[in-house]
Amino acid sequence: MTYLRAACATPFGRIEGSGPLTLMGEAATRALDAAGLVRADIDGLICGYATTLPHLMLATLFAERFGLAPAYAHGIQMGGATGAGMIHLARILVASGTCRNVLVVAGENRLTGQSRDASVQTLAQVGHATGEVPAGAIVPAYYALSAARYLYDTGATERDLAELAVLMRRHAADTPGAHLAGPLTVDEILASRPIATPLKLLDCCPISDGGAAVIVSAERGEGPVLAIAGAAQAHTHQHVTEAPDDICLGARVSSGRALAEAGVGVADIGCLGVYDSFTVTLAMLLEALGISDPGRAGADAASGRFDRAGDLPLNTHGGLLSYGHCGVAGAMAHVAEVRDQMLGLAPGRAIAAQPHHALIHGDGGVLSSHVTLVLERVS
Amino acid sequence: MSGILIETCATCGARWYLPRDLCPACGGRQVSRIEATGTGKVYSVTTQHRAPSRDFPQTPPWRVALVDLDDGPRVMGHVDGDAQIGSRVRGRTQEFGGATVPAFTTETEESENG
Repeated sequence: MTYLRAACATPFGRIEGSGPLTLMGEAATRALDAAGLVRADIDGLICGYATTLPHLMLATLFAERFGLAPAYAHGIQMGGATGAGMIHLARILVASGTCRNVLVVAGENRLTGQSRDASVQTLAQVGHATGEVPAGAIVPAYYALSAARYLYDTGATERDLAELAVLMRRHAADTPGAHLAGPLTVDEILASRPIATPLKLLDCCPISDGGAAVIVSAERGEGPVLAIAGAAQAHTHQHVTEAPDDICLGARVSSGRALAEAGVGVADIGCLGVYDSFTVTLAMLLEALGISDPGRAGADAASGRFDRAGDLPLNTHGGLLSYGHCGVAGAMAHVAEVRDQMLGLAPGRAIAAQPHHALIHGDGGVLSSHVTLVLERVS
Repeated sequence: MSGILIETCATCGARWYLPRDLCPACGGRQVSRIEATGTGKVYSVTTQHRAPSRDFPQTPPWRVALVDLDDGPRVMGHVDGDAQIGSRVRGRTQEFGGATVPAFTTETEESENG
């Protein structure tokens, strides 16, 4: 067994004076405290990238600064799927006997560390340098092309997409450290300025500062704990121009593999952490994962199904759309929230019942790279 | 002709848009560039209201589409204000912000027939 010994996020938002290394350090300190471990216990280190600190050896840089001497260390880059991908790799390292305690950490001052233009330009490189970027397209436009086709194919509406952003904001309102916590309505989302139709400003996640860290361990520690019962990936394309018509095919494949490894089905899952860079990302992934029927994710959100009191709580911290998005650490906050909820560590915003299984899904690129983790509560 | 360049594999006949030096289908290395007729059908379209950067030489909005060429590959380019998903379009290349980009105009039924 491989255990998710700790998972912690810092507050997200505007954190003046922060930097990738300070945010990583803050998150790592929280994770060590949560796990009851000390720095000397860490023998593996995996770091996410930071667009505000594009360093050749970020893991080593962090290890030196934080006082770690790991037997194994490097960074990895999988876009939005990086967080879940690092945890997948940590599990492999522990299962193979290479490491006993792997620290997975990411942090970035993506909001205050660079201009919004610089951030938009960096992210635009998700597009193809000669086949897509010259058209002036930006990441929201790539997702907007998916969104337009999704609405056309399923009959879902922009109002349905907005319901997912409303849900995320409602969850963030009760979560300490959320970037955006003020009330938000469907009509406000529909009236927000267009970015790339059908996506409007409030269909898009904010750019935040923040950090997150996870410890994956061979030892369970004391008390109830989460085991990583399944983990899998699928990579179908890089660019939206070469994506399959079933653009979320990778999500179907990776979740199918991860659930099969865990020996459970979608119906056994009781808590969700699903990547939500845009409302449409969340809608398409929920449907590809087999959780909502085609075109029905927004309606499911409106019905209360994904509320904390609903039968399948989703991104109960507010997700990327409202807790915030600081790059790699953004989707790691989903893992921290799911762990807290599964172990009853989220007082004031607890879900109705602590389920046995939860599912985490990350997406990088334009629904290009997919990682699914299945977590199991072990008493 | 359209000026829109696609690539094709001499070994297996596969065609694609984003340039590479080997065939993604069969791995063949005999890759050549051919000019597409430029006609096709809109797979998806968005009206983009935000420029990639403040100093970008063009002022938004512009419309970006994925077009399935009759010649096979799906390409990204600009479309006119009439284009919708499923519209028949005809493409050429056009200067945009210092680069050459495929640009498509919507075919009316009349022009398709005539």
